Amino acid sequence: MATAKKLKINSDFLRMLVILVVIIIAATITSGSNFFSVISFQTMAKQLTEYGLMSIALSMAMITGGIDLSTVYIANLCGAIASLTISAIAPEGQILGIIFACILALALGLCCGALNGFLVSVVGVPPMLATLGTYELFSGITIVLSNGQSIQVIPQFTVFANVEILGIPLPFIVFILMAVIFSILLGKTAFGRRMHLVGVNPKASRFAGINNEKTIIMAYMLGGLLCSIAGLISLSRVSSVKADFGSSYVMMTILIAVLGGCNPAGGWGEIPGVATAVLVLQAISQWLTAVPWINGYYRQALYGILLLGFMTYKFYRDKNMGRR
Amino acid sequence: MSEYILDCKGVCKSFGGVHALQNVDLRVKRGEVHCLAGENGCGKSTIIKAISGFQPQDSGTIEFDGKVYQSLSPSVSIDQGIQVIYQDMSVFPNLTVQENLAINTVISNKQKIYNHRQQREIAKKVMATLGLDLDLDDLVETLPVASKQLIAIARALYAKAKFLILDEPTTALTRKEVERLFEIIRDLKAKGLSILFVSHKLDEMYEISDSITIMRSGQTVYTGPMATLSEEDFTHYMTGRDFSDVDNKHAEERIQRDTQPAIELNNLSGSGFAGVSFKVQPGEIVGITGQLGSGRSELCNTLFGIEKATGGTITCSGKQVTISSVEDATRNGIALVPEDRLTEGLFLPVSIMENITVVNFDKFTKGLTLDSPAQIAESADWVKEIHVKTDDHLLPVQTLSGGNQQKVVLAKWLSTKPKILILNGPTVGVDIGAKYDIYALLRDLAKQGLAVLVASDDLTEVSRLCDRTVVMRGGIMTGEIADQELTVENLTKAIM
Repeated sequence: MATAKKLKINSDFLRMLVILVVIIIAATITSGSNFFSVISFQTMAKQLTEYGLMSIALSMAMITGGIDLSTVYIANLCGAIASLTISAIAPEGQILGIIFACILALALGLCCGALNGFLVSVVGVPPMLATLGTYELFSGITIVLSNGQSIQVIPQFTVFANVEILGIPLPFIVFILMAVIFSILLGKTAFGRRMHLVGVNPKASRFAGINNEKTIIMAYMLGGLLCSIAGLISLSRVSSVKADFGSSYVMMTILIAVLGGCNPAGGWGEIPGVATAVLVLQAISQWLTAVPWINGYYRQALYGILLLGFMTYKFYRDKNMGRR
Repeated sequence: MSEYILDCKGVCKSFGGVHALQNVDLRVKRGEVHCLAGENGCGKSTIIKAISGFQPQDSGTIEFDGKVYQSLSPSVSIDQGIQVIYQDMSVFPNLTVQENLAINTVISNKQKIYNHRQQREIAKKVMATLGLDLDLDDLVETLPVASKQLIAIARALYAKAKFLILDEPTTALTRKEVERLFEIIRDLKAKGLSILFVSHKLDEMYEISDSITIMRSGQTVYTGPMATLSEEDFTHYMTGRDFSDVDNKHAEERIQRDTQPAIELNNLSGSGFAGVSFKVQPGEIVGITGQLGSGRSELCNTLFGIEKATGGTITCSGKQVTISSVEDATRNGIALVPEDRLTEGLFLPVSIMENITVVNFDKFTKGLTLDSPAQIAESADWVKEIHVKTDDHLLPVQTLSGGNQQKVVLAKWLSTKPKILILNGPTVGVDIGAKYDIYALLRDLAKQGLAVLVASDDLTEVSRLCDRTVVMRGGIMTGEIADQELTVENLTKAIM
């Protein structure tokens, strides 16, 4: 029975892993070298980091029973602040100035997350509305800071996204590192389990002596931190930032979190599943680009089919489990 | 015409290999109040579903009013005059009283056009069947449970009910509301209606029923007149076990009189109660009793830091303490088994193991991560220690019966080694067998020096379990009853 329990926790992870392998095999057969080249892998690895980190951030909000719609805008705000700070204090690319700007951006990410968590837990605004409000706020501040234009960052900063260690792009290493850290944090620590329990039943967690407010604020703060890392990576990769950059990621992160096994009602979800779902989505997208006879315009429709199919499957499985 | 309005013979029903009903016989005479008793999961609801046609039986016959049915459907059942009043599922909470009262008639008239005035007339007629006096424009969700029930009953009567099934109607009612309901039931009986009363509260059954059928594990184990059934036999038929004398309290050996009180309240006030003063010695079991709204639940929650005290002092083992959060309470050795185990006490879809160990996560943290083998070992110990009936403690806690769920809540708090254990409604929705287990466990804990506070409106429970009780009425502590005075009769008088 102990193994069954373990399987239950990891079943989403395993399922995603199987899907990933199937897609990679299918892609290799249908598009061969196009899909499975080093260059293809490197583009893939760079792109996925940004929304990968934001998906982990969103998953944490979802596990506590909430949602975070402001992820992308926290990333953009932090990117904008970093870029402006660098231009102001380190226009020649002085390393200390860049480090300071990055720390400032990360701290800002934590603050943005804290605001979300505060609104959700202490003020009691429904998470969807609270983060919709902060999404407008953060994107508004970025628009003001940038006068509605895109902000260019000094060329020296773009080096980071292109660093490779043993052929693996640095952003991807950051993503894997964060995925591992947050897998342990959520799966193995007291804090992580409390986060889940708050999501299962906030009333019972209060009666069990769990500080709901603290737990929820912490979850959103760590989410904010991940978003600001994503913002810095994106700034480095595309060498500029704009208030509405990557707004399509908002829905994509929700898709990934749910595919990865997070329950939109809270309480369930583990990071390994989510991280694998990130890879699955990127693999599909890559595949579509590599296969000449499928038009890239089908991408969105395919995502929709994937999500609906998965939700239907999950619904039936849960229903059958409930009957047993 | 047969003497029986309902005569079920050899009813069987199984769900995927599990026999929910095995040759169940249930006969209700015309014009009697018949009680259907049994522990949770004994098949009470399954037989009701067969009678009301929601889930026809696999085999066996149901004879109703002289006609024999192999299987009933809901519409046939209602047409024949069978009406079931469920606890709270029978009304539409977001509609007004008027709409709730009239809706059945409007639907059965197959009226296509909605007519407010006509509906109002129907609603008034329906109210008249029970002599109700409710504001027709009130939303039903704002009404107390008792009124919702009466609306459902009135609607059933207007639909020409001959046979009324009341499914655990008294669970959420106060004593006064129960009295009112019983008056109505007697009235209906006098008018010739037959009533099947589903319950597990023994005193209520004696009060209202003429005869009784007891079910256990899907079978009929006893049927006969109510008056000749002794309490011991009742317990025996319900549980299949015999319980030794539970009234043996041994209070004086247990209570440690010579030490400081484990907890002492001085003029404590909070939202919903004011001016409460009493103390509890280690080893003592003290009740807090009063009706719904008397402030007992609020008092419990305040002592546990869920709600804030507005005045007065709390002293734990001689030290005055401020309790403004659950952390404060647990630090001072206070534990609370909350009133609603399903929403407050447990994480239902989460494993039994985690439900027990959640309060000790910090203790199990080794380095940065949780030491899950230690967690599992501790949980296994508790499951064995207080006899939680389960195959595997890694299963979700919702797979357990009510009594075993309550034991899990108890295990959770006992694992914090509290000095003061507060229980709010410790045996609500708990089977008789598990109830006695819990009583024995509490006595045992008290013997080991735990101070136990039991908030309950079950007067039999208070009089049997507690050494002394605090009586509350309307948020105010009205007195204490102890020793020989602690009887159900005295308590009934005191809480009114």
